[in-house]
Amino acid sequence: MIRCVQTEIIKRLFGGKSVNRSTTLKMLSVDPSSSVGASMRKEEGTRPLVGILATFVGSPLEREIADAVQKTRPDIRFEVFVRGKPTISEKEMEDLKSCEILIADPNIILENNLVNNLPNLKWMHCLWAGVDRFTRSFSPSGPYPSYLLTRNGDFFCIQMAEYVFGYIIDKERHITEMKKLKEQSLWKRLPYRTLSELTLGIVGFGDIGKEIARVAKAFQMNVWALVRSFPKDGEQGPHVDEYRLSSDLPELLAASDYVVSILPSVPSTDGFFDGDMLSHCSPKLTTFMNIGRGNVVKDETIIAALDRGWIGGAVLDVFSVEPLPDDSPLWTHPKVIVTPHIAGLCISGSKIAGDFVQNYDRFVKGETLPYTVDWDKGY
Amino acid sequence: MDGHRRLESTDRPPAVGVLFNYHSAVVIANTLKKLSPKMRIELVSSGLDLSENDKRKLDSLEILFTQPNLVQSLKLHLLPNLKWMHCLIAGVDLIVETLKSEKSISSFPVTRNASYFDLQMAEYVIGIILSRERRIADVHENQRNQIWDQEVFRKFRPLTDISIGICGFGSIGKEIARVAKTFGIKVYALVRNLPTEAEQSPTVDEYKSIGELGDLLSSSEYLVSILPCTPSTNGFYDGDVLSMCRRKKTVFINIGRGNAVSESTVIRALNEGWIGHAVLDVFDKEPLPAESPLWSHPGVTITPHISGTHMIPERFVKVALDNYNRFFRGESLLNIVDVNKGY
Repeated sequence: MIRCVQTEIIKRLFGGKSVNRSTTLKMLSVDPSSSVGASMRKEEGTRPLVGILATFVGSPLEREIADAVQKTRPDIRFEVFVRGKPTISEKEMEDLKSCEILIADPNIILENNLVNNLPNLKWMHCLWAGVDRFTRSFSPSGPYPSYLLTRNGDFFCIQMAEYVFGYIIDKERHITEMKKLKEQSLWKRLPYRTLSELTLGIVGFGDIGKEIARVAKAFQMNVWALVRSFPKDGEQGPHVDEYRLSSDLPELLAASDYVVSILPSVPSTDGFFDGDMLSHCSPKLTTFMNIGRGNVVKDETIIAALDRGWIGGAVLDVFSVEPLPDDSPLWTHPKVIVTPHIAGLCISGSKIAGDFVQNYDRFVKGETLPYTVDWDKGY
Repeated sequence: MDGHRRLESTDRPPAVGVLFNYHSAVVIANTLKKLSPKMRIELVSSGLDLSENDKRKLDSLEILFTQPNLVQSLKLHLLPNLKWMHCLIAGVDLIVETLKSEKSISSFPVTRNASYFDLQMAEYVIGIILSRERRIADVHENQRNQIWDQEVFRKFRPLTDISIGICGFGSIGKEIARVAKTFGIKVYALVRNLPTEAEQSPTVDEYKSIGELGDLLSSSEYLVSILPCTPSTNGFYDGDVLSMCRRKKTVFINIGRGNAVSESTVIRALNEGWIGHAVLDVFDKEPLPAESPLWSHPGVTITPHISGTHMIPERFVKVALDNYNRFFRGESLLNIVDVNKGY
């Protein structure tokens, strides 16, 4: 009788998916001699085991997240903490495999052959926004893992906008140059343009793109967005002046003083800007910014586009190979700014913890989780 | 109201004198002509050697669009018929000084080009903040050395974690608050009179009166001063005022006027660890003399009074044109300068 009740609770937990007996028993393994154990037995059925696979040795971030969750929500069984590098011990492997919920960088999962080796896993929550290495590791038609994968779709938005406008204003208002002038004790006024006279083209218009559009409008920029399909009447955002489809990319490039690519890495975006696509930037000598993924444009394309006078500059946070190899000409080209994939790197452990906890509560209620990765789409 | 008069249908509109740096004066005049074809415009010069023709032009002028430093060198008694002066710049302290010293002449209203400069100055301020918070200089340094290092940038704070204290809450200050709020920065505004609830702006988290300056200073990662140059703002931050910044090692940004803080105060505040850095766009003497110790102090960023100097012609003359129409309709003018207050 008790067992049935517990199975029912678990079924509700996991949205009606069938759960085998051994899983049930594993979740209920508590020292029965503990006085707390008996009363916990019923509650344990509603509390999935949570773990975190820490990406960076020495980085306090994942510790911050774990501490914040444990502190604010002692009811959550956050009991597993494993360092992903340099190696995972056998005991740690077992611990990971016992988790039903895992906070992890999916790349570490990939690297340790854990993708299909997490039998208890129901939900993996990725700390970052991009999951492409993971999703591209499956063959196009599957099979896909049986667990849910969610990503941090909106957490990074404002930081990405900070990055974009940090570099745009630095360039337009000569902030870096003025430092050099100061070193020479030179009082020299450099003429400038204001953002309100410029057009920003946003390629890849998800939540990050929309946030960038919002901030662009605060500076009274003219905003173009490249979308998969035109928004229906009434769904057009207040921050976009012109929508264009992928086939209209040349027109968008020609209109833009700055272009920001936030495209995800999926087969259809491979080489999106390669060939002579960037030649369309020549009317305004567009500055090309890439904060999405490096698959959309090769290093050589950027160099050629600069040298041919197609684009006026490049600000690149992502590359086809990361870290950017020593021999890449991008490092030394005077018109290229190389940033080491840091646009969305700023994290506050307590903020991510809060985000995770919200999703956890949705998860145990069987609700849909935001930013659940669609395996077919790849993001 | 002094200086206003209705334009009778038989009257030929009086000429508008434009007294401005030559190249810009031509652009301004052409823009005015384009937007208001019936306007009569006279380019006038100040200076020591005025020809008889120049003096005749000045003598008949009723309206003057100008900039403060040229007004200083103009003898106002050469414009006995002046009914309205419009300053095309936001900062009018030099005009106020000139008018005060020629008391008998200042019977006409003076208006200024407030609002035009707001957004580009807010852009400057946010640009400075982003450049520091995202450590753009370090990124460039690493690129020069071909170092790929994410760890060193991992611990930056999002703008949602910082506060800005805005001293001088006119139209520029309000625009800075608006842009800061766009990034989720917490905003403190220093005001002479605390607004009622209805008057409060949604972009300000907390208003502080002058008596609460210490509160504001100790709560802000960034302090932006847009105080105008008036007798009451002379040395506003001098003495030990900036010691109240030590809690957060506030970064002090001055885009108002150089009278608010002395060089020695800035240097002392940096050396004592009261402030973390000083970003100065305005100075007592401009251009900043080569021998100023500010040039070589590592805790100082110097920008050559450029937070608001870009002219977009049609927008630049908008307030002037608006006021021109109001002037002849007998309506009240925008952005009138209170000569006693100094702004």
